[in-house]
Amino acid sequence: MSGFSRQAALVAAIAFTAAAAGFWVARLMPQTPIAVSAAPKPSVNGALEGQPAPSLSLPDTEGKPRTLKDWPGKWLLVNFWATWCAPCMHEIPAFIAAQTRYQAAGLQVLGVAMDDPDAVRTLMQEKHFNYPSLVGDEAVQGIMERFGNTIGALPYTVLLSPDGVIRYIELGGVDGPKLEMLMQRFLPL
Amino acid sequence: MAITRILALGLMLVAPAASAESLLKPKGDAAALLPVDQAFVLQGATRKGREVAIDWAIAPGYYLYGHMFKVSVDAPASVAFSGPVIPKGEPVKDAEFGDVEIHRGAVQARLALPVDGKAPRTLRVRYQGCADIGVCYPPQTRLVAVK
Repeated sequence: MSGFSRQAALVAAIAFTAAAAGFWVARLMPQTPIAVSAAPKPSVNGALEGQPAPSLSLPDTEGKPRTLKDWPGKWLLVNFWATWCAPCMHEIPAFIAAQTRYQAAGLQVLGVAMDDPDAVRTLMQEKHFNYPSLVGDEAVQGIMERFGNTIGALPYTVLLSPDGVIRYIELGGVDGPKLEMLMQRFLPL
Repeated sequence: MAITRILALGLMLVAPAASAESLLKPKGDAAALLPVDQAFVLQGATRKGREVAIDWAIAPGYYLYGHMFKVSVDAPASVAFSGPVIPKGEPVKDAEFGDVEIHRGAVQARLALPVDGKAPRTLRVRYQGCADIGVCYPPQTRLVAVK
């Protein structure tokens, strides 16, 4: 290789490395605060990300009507789930751990079960839930659709920032490492 | 060589970036999933003598749970039957649900009618299944006419 082409390769390699590192750091930096009125950031994982969350009104496991406004100022990790859904069951320990670890940072996990209230109450006791769950049946299906889940499959998880904006959407189970990554990415830690 | 070392350093920096990106990237894509009635096609119920067969066609990459099939008579309400009998499926050990069976490709549920009883005109059928990518569809309940 001639001296010139070696120099050119060296410059290209450094530029490539710097660009990749910069991109990585920018993506993982905690993103706080985010103004609601600002133009939505480019969507990372879904068309609804960056958009205000739709309204939601469902009873909790005690039958009390609840809305998202009942958790003001929180980062809401809304997990649509059901007792008949094996992937939903598998991710519950990760949500319990996240609630414990990130509660002080403003996280509130909120289940939304498409299920029978008795089955939900029983399972929440068995699994030692440390976060609440709302319950519904067909109403949950409609709510999920408004949150972008038009196929109706579970599990489905949506992260909302305290200003009520959808920040992240996940169709399918999330595990501990993924939740950890999400918390590090979005919460003001 | 210096260039080789620099490129190796670059790769070391990019590799975790790719890993972080893949962790943040959603596993499921709603656009790639079939609507439930295309994933699990209820083909109908057919009576032959004193037996009724209910058939499903299951799309590749999807499965129905054997223990989630439920059938009841819609009309006439007085009709009795035994079953449904579901053929042996693929055994699966689930961390939550224990030993269960799943069905891929196709499955047939069979009902046995009493020798001297009436035949059902319509059945209420309930079933539930999932996709291999790790999502499940809600239980489906359908009315099906017996041909």
